[in-house]
Formats: sequence, C-alpha cells, structure tokens
Amino acid sequence: MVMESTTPSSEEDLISQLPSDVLVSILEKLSLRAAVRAGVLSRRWRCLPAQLPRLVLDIAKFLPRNDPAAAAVEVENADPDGEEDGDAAHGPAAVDDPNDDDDDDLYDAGDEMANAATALLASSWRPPLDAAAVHNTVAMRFYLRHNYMELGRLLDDAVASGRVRKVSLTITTTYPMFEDDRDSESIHRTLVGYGRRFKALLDACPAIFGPHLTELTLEKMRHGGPDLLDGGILATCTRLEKLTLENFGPERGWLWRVRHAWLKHIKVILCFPSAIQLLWLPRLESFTLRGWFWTTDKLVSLGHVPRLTTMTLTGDIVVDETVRLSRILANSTALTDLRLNFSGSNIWVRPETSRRLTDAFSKLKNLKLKNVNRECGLAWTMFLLQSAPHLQELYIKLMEHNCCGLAGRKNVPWEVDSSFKHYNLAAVNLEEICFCENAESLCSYCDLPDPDAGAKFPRTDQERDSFTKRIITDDDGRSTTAVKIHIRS
Amino acid sequence: MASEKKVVFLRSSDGEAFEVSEEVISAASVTIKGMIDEESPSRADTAATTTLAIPNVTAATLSRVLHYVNKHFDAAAVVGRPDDYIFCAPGDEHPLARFDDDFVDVDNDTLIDLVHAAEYLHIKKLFDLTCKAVADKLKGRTIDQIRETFGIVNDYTVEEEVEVYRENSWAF
Repeated sequence: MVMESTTPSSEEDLISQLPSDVLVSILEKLSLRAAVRAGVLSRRWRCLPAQLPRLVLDIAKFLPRNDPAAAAVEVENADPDGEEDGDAAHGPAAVDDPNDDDDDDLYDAGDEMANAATALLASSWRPPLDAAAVHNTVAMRFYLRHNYMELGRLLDDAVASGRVRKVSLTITTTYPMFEDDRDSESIHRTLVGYGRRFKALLDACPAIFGPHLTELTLEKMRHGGPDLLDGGILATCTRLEKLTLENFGPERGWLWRVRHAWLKHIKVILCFPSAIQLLWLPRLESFTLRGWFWTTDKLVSLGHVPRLTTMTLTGDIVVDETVRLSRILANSTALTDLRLNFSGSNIWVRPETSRRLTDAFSKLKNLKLKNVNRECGLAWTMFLLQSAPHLQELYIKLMEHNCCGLAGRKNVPWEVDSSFKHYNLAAVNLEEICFCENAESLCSYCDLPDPDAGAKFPRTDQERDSFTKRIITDDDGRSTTAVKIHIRS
Repeated sequence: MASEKKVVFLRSSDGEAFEVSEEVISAASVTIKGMIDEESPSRADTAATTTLAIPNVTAATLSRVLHYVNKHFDAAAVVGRPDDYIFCAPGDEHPLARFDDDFVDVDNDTLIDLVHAAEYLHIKKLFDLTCKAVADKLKGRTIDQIRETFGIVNDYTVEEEVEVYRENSWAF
C-alpha cells in the first residue's frame, strides 16, 4: 500500500477542530462567495456560511467585474458612511435604460443574486432550524428590476420566520439621472413608475418594513406624496436608525415633517424639498441635506431634537438667496459639528451676529466650510468665528470653479471691522486650523480638471500667515490661543 | 515598590514558564487580566510573584504570542523604536504591518495554534490578524486545494456532495 504524500501540515485536520464561531470569524474575512464555497469542504463546514453574523447581498457583487454599471455601483458604494462632499460624481452615468429589462448583465446579476438569497435565506433548504443559523444582520441592495419582488419576498420570509434580526436595505434603480437626452416629462414618468414598484414591494413585504429594519436607503424614484414615507415607512419601521433618501420623494418643492422615535441619522440627498421640519426626533444625531428647492430661512427647522450634534448642509444649485443660520438652527441645543458645503458656488449663508446664533453655536466644536469658491474670500467666515466661542477646529477647503455654467460667484458682503478681532477672536479657542487646497479639483459638473485651480489663493507662507494672524493674534501680534496650523497644498 | 514593574509568570501546557510585564499582558489579554484581577486581593500583601497556568497553550505557541504582545502592547518598547515610528508619516502603512506579516508567515499548524491561543487568551488584535491569515490561505484556492492544504477530509457521500454543490451553485 502506498502512503499518501504528506502536505506541509500534519495530516491531522486541525482547522476543522476550531470551534464553529472561530471558523465563522475566519469566513467573515472572505467574500460571501468564497465563504459559501468553503461550506462545501466537508460536513463540518456545511452549516457555517448560514451562521455568518452579517450577510451582505449586494447586486454590485453579482455584476461582471469589468461592467461599467458594476464599476459605477462599486464607486457609489465605496464609502457608505463617508461624508457627503457635494463635489463627488453625481451618480452612475453608465447604467442602462431603466425600462429596458433586457440588459443581460443586470438581468443575470439579479437572477444570480436571487439564487444566492435562496441558498442563504430560504427556509426550505435545511428543515431543522438551527439556533445558530440566525443572521444578526442581513444587508441587501438591489435594483427595482425584473425580479425585485422575488428578492423582497425571500428576505421577507426570512425575517418573518425569525432567521434575521436586523435588516439593512438599499433599494435603487438604474435610472441615469443626469443624462440630458430625455425630457423632464419622460424622466418624471419613469421615476413615478419606479415609485409604484417600490410601493408594491412595501405592501408585499410587511416583515421587512417593520421593526427589524434598521437602515434604509431609497434612491432614484418618485412617489405621489409624503404619505408613503410617513405613513408607509416611518409608521411601521419603528426601529429604523438610519434613513437615506437620494433622488427620492414627491414633486420637487415638497414639504417633509418628520417625527420618529428611533431615527439617529437622516440624509436627504438631491431630493429638493422646499422645507424639512424635524419636528420630533428624540434620538436624532446627524442630519444631512444636500440640494434644496427654495433657499429660505424655513429650509430646515428644528423641533425636539435634543441629541442632534451634527448637521451638514450642501448647496447643489446656484442660488442667489441666503439663509440665516440663526433661524435654521434655532432650537438646536447639542450641535457640535456643522459642515457647510458651497460646491464652489455662491455663499448662501447670510452673515449675522445675533444672540440666537450664539445660542445655537454654544456647543459648536468643529466647523467645516467646504468648497468655498476662492473668489468669495474668507472675510465672511468671521461672523461664524465670532459667534462660536467654543470652536476647537476650523476646516476650510477652497475650490476654484470657473469652468462651466456656474460662473458668477455671488459673495456675501461682510466687512471685517478691525476692532472686532480683539473683542471676539480672543474668545475663540481654536486648536486647529486646516487649510486644504484642492489643487487638482475636479469639477463635478464638467468632469474636467480645473486648469486654474490653485492659481489665485495665496500660496506663499507670508500670505498664509497674514490670514491666520488675523484670526488668532491681537493688535500687538501676540497669539491669543495655542493654535496648531496645518496648511496643505 | 511602586516604581518597580510588576511581572507575572505564565506556565504553558507543557510546563514552561514565561515572564511578562503584568501591565503589558493585562492590556493585551482579557483572559489573563481577569485571572490577575481574581488573584490580586490575596497577593496584595505578599511579595511572591504570581504564576498563572495557561493549560491550553503550548510553550512554542505561548512564546510566539508573548513576542507579539510585547511588540504591540508595550508602549515603552514601541515608542522607543525610532526606525518604526519617527520616520513614519501619516498615511504610511502601520509601522507594525511588516512585523505582523512576518509573524503570520508560518506553517498551517502553527497558525491554527495561534488562532486557538488568541481566542482562548482573548487578544482581539491577534485573533483578527490570525483569522485573516487563515482566510488568506483559503482565498484563490479550489476546494480540493484547500482540503489538501489543511488536511480536511471530504466526508460527504456522493449524493450529499452533489446536493451541496447544487445548493451553492451560484458561488461557483
């Protein structure tokens, strides 16, 4: 009898002797596909993939690698928690026509994802329900295409039968929002069609849209009225913590009045509401709004939001009007981080000094001013510093933007009174100033590197010094705070 | 005596004792910190050094684990190492990344022993590192190659194997 040749290891199968939870920890470091393959190794391994605590079924992972749609989806997906920058690409432009369900790659990807979901979630495959085979979280992301209902029902069954504790869901469409060869009527019709599909899904999957849903992202669809959101989703998803809406909503200029006991994070991206009233959100910690319809003081209003610490506002279209932050932030009691992104366009905050603003800023520690057009200068920023006595970190990112139809920056006038610096800035506790010049900024509207970027802003040490000195030194040139200054170029 | 660094001895399953700073091992291992906390009332007034039995870990593995622990959790040793830190600009890879890579570049049995030890001693960073290293050995290999590498015996019947492949066909 011939002895089997020995492998580098001993012949004893040490790895299979590891406890199941350790093996699951190893499988967690693999892609879902590789983890499922490992389940084929032996009987010992067969039940392991079903015990993965977090199961991620993302349509992007089922598209062919070199597919432009896949690439676009991957990019979109790259940093789900990343800060909304406003100067990133607007979305996948390369995806196919939404009404055309014949796109082979997307069709196949949808089918393959349904196969995977069936194998991992369907109740029939392993009759005795193993207590360990409960996924803590299932994260699913799919398009409202041919088999969206099948995918939804698979997840719904799994949730209904208690095999999933938490659901994180992203529902999107393949609609190319920013292609210009379509009239707005046809865009509207298509988006409304998607809205109807979503409504059908919502009605068919009561288990998903219930207390197990913790994160929900809805993209690129339109629906009839705020009822779908408030009555249909927020009323039943009582434990929803994170809600992201992108290109979602009724007609532009809609009003959203939000009440929810559990929501912690809300993002409203390119939905162009006229106003959002955060009426009663006792757990809300962060709110992001990018793109709105009317620039008024009523754009955002705060009701009971005692834990709201972070607010991000990103202007997305050229606006001539300005808002008063004292009105928008009235009632804020916990705000520590404020991020204002001007997308290289006009400054849409109105300089003011008021008791109300100082109250709203009473806990403000971090202020980020992003994509301020260089032509607007920095004088106007002084009113923010004046009103924020506890500011610790100021971050300003400048942007040059002359390359397309957004020309004509409208600045807000703000004369820096030479006497103002003693009185106010001595009280500002600046620990860090960070100038980040984006010398190779890409214009999100025309996707061309801006040739003039970096040309105008003072680049010499001397010029930088003079700005920082103005903030942090008194008349005699003594520094009023211990400031760390970082200037990146 | 407060200035003197306290040490503990860890005795491996095969009887060898290793000396380690109490502070360092407590920062690294939840399990050993628990053992020390349990011991401490009784030894507060004695000068005797504690020896803790680590019955699940062999001397060979324990010495490797302590090498890792001293490298990662001894603040003094880490800071005093200019070649690791001072020339490291923000954004560079972690200065211990190279050490970690070399540390898990071992044969499969040694690696599995380290996973076991990291799990038993509850050293999260080491557990993650070693699990990742095992996962990397599973990556990019066919089922048969993985079986061969780790000595895993295919104990499915022919029918079962057909069934399990069919069930997971989407992944192949």
